Amino acid sequence: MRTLLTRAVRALAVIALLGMLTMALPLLLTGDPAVAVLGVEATPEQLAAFTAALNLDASPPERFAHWLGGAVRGDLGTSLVTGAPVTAEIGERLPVTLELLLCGQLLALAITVPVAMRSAWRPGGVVDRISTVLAYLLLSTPAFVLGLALILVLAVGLAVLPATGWAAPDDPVEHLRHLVLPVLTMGLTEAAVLVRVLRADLIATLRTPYILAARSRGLSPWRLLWTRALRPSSFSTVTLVGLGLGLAFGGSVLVETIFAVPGMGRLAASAIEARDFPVIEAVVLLSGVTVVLVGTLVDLVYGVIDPRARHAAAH
Amino acid sequence: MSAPLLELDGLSLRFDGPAGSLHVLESVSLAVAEGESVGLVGESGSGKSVLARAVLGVHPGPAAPSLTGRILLEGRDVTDGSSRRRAVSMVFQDPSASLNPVVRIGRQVLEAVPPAERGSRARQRAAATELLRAVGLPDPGRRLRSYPAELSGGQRQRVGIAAALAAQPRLLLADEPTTALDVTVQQRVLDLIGELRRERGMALLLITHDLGLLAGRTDRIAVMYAGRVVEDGPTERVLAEPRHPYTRALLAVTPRLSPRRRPPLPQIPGGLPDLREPRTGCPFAPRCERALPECATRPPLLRAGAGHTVSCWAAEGVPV
Repeated sequence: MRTLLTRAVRALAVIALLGMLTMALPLLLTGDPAVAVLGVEATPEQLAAFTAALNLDASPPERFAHWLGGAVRGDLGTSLVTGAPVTAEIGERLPVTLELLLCGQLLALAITVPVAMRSAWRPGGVVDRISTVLAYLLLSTPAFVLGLALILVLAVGLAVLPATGWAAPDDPVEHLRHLVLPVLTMGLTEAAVLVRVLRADLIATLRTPYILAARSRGLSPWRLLWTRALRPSSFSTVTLVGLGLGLAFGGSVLVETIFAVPGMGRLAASAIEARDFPVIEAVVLLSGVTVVLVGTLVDLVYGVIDPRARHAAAH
Repeated sequence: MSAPLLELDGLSLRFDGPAGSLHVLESVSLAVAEGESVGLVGESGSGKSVLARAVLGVHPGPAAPSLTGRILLEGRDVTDGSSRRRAVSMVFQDPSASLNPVVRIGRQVLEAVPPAERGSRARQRAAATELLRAVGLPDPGRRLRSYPAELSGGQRQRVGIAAALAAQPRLLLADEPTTALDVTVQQRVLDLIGELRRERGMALLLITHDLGLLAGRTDRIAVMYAGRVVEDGPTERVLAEPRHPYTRALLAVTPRLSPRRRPPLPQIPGGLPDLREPRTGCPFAPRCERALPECATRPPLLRAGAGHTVSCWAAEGVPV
C-alpha cells in the first residue's frame, strides 16, 4: 500500500516536471514567440492578443498550473493552425495510434515467443541461425526502408494491399487492409529486438538446475518451455514491450508518415513544424503520462511474473 | 541372483567441445540391487555428479556427452537416452537452485506425474499434500500455494525430495543432498531419505564427498577417483579395512567428532589429473604414497573379500 502511494507520488512528480519543461518550450525560441509564430508583419495588437491567449508572459510553473486547470475541465486550448479544440484533434488521432501500437506489439510478441523458444532450445541449430540472420537483417534496416520494401512487394508488386492511407473502422475490411502494412512494419522491427533478448534470457534459464530437474522429471520440451522457462526469462522482454508502448508516440511518427496514417505521430510532427504550441504541449504531456503509466504497469507485471518481486515490493 | 536394478557396465563418458574433449568417466562398472543403498564417494571433479546425471539421462546445457559402455536399468539398456519410465529420480544438490522460483510448490511436486495420470484438481491437491506430509513439511495443505522463496533451506530440500518421490521411483539418486544446508539440518534430511527408502523399498545411490556421512546409512560404498571406481565394498569393510590408498587417504582427512584426538586435519597432496587426456595408468599414482612402477599401466581389479573389490597394483587380492 505504501509502495503504491510512493509510486503515485513519484509518477506525479515526473509529470509535473515534464509539464513545466513543456511549458518552457515557447520561451526557448529566440526572440518573441508571438513574433516567431505570427511573423514580423503582425500588428502590436495581434501580438498582444496572441501573448495573452497563450499566457506567454507567465513563468513555466504558472503556465503549467493554468494549463492543468484547463485540462481538468477538459479544455486543452485551441489549435493555432486549425482553430479546433486540441481535445478534438487528439480525440480523433489517439485511437488510431493506440490501435497501431497495440497491434504492432502483439504481432511482435506473437512472432517473438515461438521463434525465441525454438532458437534457445537448440542454440546454433538451423532455426537459431536462420532467425539470427533475419533478426540482424531487420535490425539493420531502418523502419522507413522496411516500410517501403513492404509497400513495394505487397502493394505494388502483388497489389493485394493499399500502399498508404487509412480507413475508418466503419468499413471493417478496408480498415484491416489499411492496418496490415503499418502494423507489419512496426511488429517486425520490434520483433527483431525482442527475439534477440528473449532468446538470450531463455538460453540462460534453460541452463539452470531447476530446468534440469524439471527435465529429469520427464516434462516434454513444449511444457518445459511454456510453463517453466518462459516466465523466469521474460523480464527484459516485458520491459522492452513497455518501453515500446510508452515511447512509440515518437516512434510511430516514422511509420505514420510512411503510410500516411492520421495518428498522434503525424499530429505531433505537423504541430512542431507549425509551432502550434497548444497541440505540442498536449501531445508531449499525454505521451509523458503514457510513459509513466506504462512504467507503473510494467512494475506490476514484474510482480505477476515473479513472486519474489512481489515480496520485495511488499516489504 | 536376479539382475540388479541399476547396472553400469564399463561406462565411459566424454564431453566434446570446441576447446577439446573431457574424459569424465572411464570404464565405470557399478551395480545397485533392488532396495539396496549405495554410497558413492569422491572429491569434487571425480565425476560422481556426471555419473548420476548419466543414469538420470539428462545433462545441463545443449551439449550431449558421448557414451560408451552400457547403462542397464531394470535390465533394459537405456544408454541411448531412452525413457527411464520413471524408474529413477533424483534429489538435487542445491534446493534453492533446483526449485523453480516462479512455480508454486504444489505444481512442482507433481511435475513427475504425467498430465494424463493426474486426475481431478482435488485428487492432485490430495496427492501433493500427501507427498509433502510424507517428507515432514509442516502444514502441507497450505504449503501447496507457497513459492520456494517462502520456505527455509531444509524445507526446500524436503520439497525436492517430495518431487523425487512423486514418480514412485525404484531407484532414488541423491546428489550431495545436504551440501547446501545447515549442519543441523543435514542429519535430519539424511535420516528422512533413509526412512523413506526403507518404507518404500527404494534403492538409493547417495553421492557425497564426505565418507563420514555414510557410516550406518548405506549397505555399500563405492569410491570414485578421476572418473573411475577404485574401490567398492560393504560399508563396514571399506571404512574399517580400506584397501585402496585413496580410500585410506580420504578416511584420514575425514574429521571425527571424538574429543580424544584432534590433530590438525591432514591433506591429500596434489590435485586431480587433467581430464582432457584419457588416463593411461592409475590416475591416483601421482598423489599416492605407495606408488609403484607398475602404476603407469592400468591397475587390475582385485577381489579383496566378499563383495569387496579394489583396483590397485599395491593392494592384495585375487584378480577378478
